[in-house]
Amino acid sequence: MAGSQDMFDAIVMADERWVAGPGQRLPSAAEAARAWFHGEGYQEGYEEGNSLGMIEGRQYGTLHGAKIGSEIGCYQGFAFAWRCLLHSCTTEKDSKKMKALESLIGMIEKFPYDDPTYDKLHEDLDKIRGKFKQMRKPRPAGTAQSKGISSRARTPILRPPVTTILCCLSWNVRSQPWSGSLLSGPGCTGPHCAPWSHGESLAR
Amino acid sequence: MKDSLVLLGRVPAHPDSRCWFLAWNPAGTLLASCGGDRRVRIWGTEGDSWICKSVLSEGHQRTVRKVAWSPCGNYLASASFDATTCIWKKNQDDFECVTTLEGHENEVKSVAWAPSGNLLATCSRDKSVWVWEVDEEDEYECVSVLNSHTQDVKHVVWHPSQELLASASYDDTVKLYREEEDDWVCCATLEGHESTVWSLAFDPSGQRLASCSDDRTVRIWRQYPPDNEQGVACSGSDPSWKCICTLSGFHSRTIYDVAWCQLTGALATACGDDAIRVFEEDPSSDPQQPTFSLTAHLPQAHSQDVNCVAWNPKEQGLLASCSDDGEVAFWKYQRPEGI
Repeated sequence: MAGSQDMFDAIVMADERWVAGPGQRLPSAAEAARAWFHGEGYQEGYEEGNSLGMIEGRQYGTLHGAKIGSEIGCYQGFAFAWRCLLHSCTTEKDSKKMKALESLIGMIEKFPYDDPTYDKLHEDLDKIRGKFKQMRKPRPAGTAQSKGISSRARTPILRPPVTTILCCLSWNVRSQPWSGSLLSGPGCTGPHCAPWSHGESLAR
Repeated sequence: MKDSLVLLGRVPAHPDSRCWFLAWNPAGTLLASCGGDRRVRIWGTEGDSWICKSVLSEGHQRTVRKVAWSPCGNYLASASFDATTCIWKKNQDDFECVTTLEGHENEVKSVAWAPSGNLLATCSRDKSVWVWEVDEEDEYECVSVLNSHTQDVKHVVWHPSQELLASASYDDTVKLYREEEDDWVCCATLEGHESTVWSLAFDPSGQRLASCSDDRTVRIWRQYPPDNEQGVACSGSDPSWKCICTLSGFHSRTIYDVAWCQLTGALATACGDDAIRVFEEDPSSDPQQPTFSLTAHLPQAHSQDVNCVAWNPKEQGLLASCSDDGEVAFWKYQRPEGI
C-alpha cells in the first residue's frame, strides 16, 4: 500500500508546510489530497503528452520533409533533363540557359537536406523555387504564336523536340500534389487553385 | 498657392470604371491610361483638347493596373490582374500586341522598363519581382525571379541611369536589386514606413528615392556610397540608403502615387483624400536633411481617390492625374513666386 502511504505523507507534510498566519485557515485534508493528485496527474499527463507530441511531430516532420524533398527532387530531374537536352546546343541563348541551369543544380546540391534547423532553409528554398520558375518558361506564350516560324527557323532541328519535351515535363510537374501552391495560375484548374482570391472592385 | 495648379482639361478616360495609372511617352506627346475596364487608351492633343487616339482592348481579361513606355517610345507594356503582361508595338496610331509575358501566379501589379530598354521588370501579388531581358528579335526571357518581399509587391521602378531596380510592397518595405554574376540580388532593404508602400520615384539624378505609403507619409531616401564623408555605414561595396526626410501631416488618407518631375524637381502626390499636392525642396536647406514646402494643394482634384500623378517629361509643369472616378485630368503647375 505504498500509494496510500505516500498520500498520507503528503497530507501530513502539507499540513506541516502550510503554517497558518493570523486569521488564516489551514487547508483541509481533502484539499491537500487534491493538490497532491493534481501534481501527480500533471506529471503523468506531461509525460504522455510529451511522447504523443513526439510521435505527432515526427509524423509531421516526415510529411513536410518528404514534401520539400519531392519538390526539390522534381526541380533536379527537370534541371538534369534540360541539361541533357541542351548539351549539344551552342547558341548564345542556349549557353545562357545552361548557365542558369548549372546555377539551379548548384543550389540544389548545396541545399542542406540533413539539417532542418538551418536558419536559411526557407530562404534557400525560395531561391531554388525562383530559379526554377525562371527556367520553367522557355519563351513567353505570345511569342510562339506571332513569331513561331522565325524563332523556330534558327535552330530547326532542336527547337521543336525541346519544346515538346518541356511541355511533357511541365505537365508532369503540374500533376504533383504540391503543384497547387507552386504553379497555380489562370491556366491551372486543379482543386488547390483559387487563383483570384479577392473581388475586382476591392483589389488594388 | 491657390492658383499654382490650374485645370487644363478633363476626359472621361475609363467611364463607369476606375482609371488606375498613366504614363507619358518619352517624347511627351502621348499619354497612356489604363483601367478597370480592361483597356488601355492612348491620348494625344488635337488643337487645345485631348482626344483618344487608340484603344487597346484585346490584350487583357481583367483590370489593367499599370502601363509603361519603352525608352525608345515604340513599345508599351501593360500589366494586368489576369497575371500577364502584354507588350504592344506602336505602328503610327495603331498598337499590336506582339508578346504576352506569362509566369506570375496571380495579379501583376506593375511593370517598368530599364533606361537601356533591354530589361523589363514586373511584380505581382505572388510576392515576386521578375526581371526580363529583351533581345534584338523582341523576344523576352526571364533572367531572374526575386522572392525577397514577404507580401504583395505593389510597384517597380528603375533608376534613371543605372541598372538598379526598386520595388515597393505590402510588407511596408522598399527593396533594391542589382545584377551580380548572371543573377539579380536584393542589395538593400529600406525600412521605415509603417504600412503598405504604394509607389516610388527617383529624383532626376537618381541619388534620391521618394516612397509614398498607406501610413500617409512620403519618405525621401538618399544613397550613400561606401566610405562617404557623412560616415553613413555601408556593408561591403553596396551603397547604403538612408531616410533623410519624412513628409508627414500633409495627407489625410493613403498616398497612392508620387512623381518626381525630371525637369524641375517638383514632387507631386496622388492621395486617397481626392487631392493632388505638389512639394518643392527648399533651396537653402541642408542636402543631408532637406526640407520640402507644400506649394500646391488641390483638395477636390477628383471626385474620388486619386490613383496616379505623372509629370510630362518634356513640358515643364504639365501634370496628368487619374482617379477612381474614371477620369484623367490635365493640370498646369506654376511654381509660386518667392520659393
